[in-house]
Amino acid sequence: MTQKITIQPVTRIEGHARITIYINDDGKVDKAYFHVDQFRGFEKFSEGRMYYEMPIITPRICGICPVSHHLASAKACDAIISADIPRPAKLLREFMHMGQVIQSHSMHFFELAGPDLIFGWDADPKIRNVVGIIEANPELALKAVKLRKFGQEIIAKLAGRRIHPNYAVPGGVNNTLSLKDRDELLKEIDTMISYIQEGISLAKDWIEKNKETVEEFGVFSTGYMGLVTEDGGLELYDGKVKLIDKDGNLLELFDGSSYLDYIGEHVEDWSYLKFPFYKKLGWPDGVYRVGPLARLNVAEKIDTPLAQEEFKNFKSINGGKPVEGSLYYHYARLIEDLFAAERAKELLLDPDILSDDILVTTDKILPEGVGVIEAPRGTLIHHYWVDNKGTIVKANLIVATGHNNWAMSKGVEEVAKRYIDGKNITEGMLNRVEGLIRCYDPCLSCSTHAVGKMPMVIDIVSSSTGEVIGSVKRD
Amino acid sequence: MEASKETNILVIGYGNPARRDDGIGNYVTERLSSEEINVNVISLQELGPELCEDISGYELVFFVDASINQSEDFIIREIIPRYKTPIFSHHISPEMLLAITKELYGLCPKSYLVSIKGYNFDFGFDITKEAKRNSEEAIKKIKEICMSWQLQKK
Repeated sequence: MTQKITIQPVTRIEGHARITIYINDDGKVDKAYFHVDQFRGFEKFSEGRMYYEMPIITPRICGICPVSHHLASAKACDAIISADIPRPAKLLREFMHMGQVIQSHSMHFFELAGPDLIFGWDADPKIRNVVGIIEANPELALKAVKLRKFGQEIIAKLAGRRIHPNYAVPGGVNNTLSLKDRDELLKEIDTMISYIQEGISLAKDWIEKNKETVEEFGVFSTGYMGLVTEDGGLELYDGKVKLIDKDGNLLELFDGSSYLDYIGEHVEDWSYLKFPFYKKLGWPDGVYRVGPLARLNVAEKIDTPLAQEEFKNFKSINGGKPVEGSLYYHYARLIEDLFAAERAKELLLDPDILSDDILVTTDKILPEGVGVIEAPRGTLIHHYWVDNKGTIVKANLIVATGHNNWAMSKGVEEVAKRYIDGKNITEGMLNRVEGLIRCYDPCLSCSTHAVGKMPMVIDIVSSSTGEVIGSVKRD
Repeated sequence: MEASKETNILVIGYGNPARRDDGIGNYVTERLSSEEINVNVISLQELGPELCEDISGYELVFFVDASINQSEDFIIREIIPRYKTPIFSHHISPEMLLAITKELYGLCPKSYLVSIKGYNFDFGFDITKEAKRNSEEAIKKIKEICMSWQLQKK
């Protein structure tokens, strides 16, 4: 008889999710699924809107990575009006994006992943949270808050508000950066870099002490995808999409606008979230991962000095081959955080960042436009089709969490099979399963948006009994 | 919308304005910012830990949010710091935010949670007539509390 355990919702991730674990009579895990329950209809909601409204509407998809949606949307709109935006506008957009990455990555490590790493999987849930971190290490917690606030300040100084910016517009941006604001941010940046370096030390120390766990926790083969610079470096704002296989061999290097030639989307009736895959390998052989781990796996270098030093260490983990362990996402995330802070400094020191040459206009309206950006959690694609007046007739959004959908479900199954004893289930076992999901830092409220695409099937019930032997809910 | 006035009162409205009545919090902060009342306002989609630095600089803080699980048109109740593991990662409760503030900064403002009943949380930027009515009633009460607070401080 197969028994079922449901964990709902997964704590410390954004949005609604459900994990279902099937256990057989021997107390072993048969299979496990990661479901996405929350339902958002932004693609449908976009139809009938004017294209230039999209950079304002789409940040509402998510309260956590609104800047990524804002910028991906603006890039899609640039394509619709066929605008080659001025260099200062590009720098300003990228700078805003670095603010987003700093606040998101810093928050994730210190406040979401941190409790697992600092207190361990089996620690009392009462202390295994951000308040526990504050009590254990208030200085570290204060630095985390300051890092997040710094990232938010970058966004606020450009857009006048910390979230849901109205800043990037088709053809550029609508505001310059003042000398005063530039200097204020510049004054703080080295301190922020040092805070991130402390986080990296903490992560490396944890990896060293928990090597065995790191090497067996959620380790599996996939392809990897991410943007790269022209010469193969880590890229978060622009660049070409690079796809590699599990051994690191190049599969594709393509312009984001042609993503439909390479990426297909598979649908399962147990999740609202679509499952993207590499078309040429088909489903499921073509599954791949995105986000910090994937980006470092596809990159050949990082163009800022401190992050490059860490990158060399990262690449040595698996002798230059892709790093597969899910827990390495935490380390990769911090290396990217460091890159974002260093890159922010470079951008602040670029004289063009203060230029008022920030917008171009055109009188063109092309039938479609694609915008691709590396959101903190991975590759984000906005694709709009418009009529000759610029009204959206169709929209397709592939969000980072969607790309990682298969990997999260696979990881959940791997971890459940390895750690769960169905005859004696403990909080620590279940926390390990949740911890796998947290490696990917999914943001599910921006993932489930395809209205009418899926039937309303959420749970899979055992055909023999349908019995639920345990349900864990967080309140 | 960000704080800018010299005042010891802060009103934080949060929710998603693209989900109709979920935008009640933002509606209230927008309304208050256009009134002659000496408060600072912040509009957000959800609360984040970085806010603790903001609120540590105030003596009185209101958290304004939409609610679907109440029969009353609006409820204003005082809240105190309380540790709670968040259900979802990126959102924390006002009580948790106060707890973090107290822990990190050693102080915590007097705080109220204003929950206003919403009716429609579908996609759309307009809030319902009923939610607007409830919000206006809540605004009156917030203003009363602020005035009384300021009188006490004189």
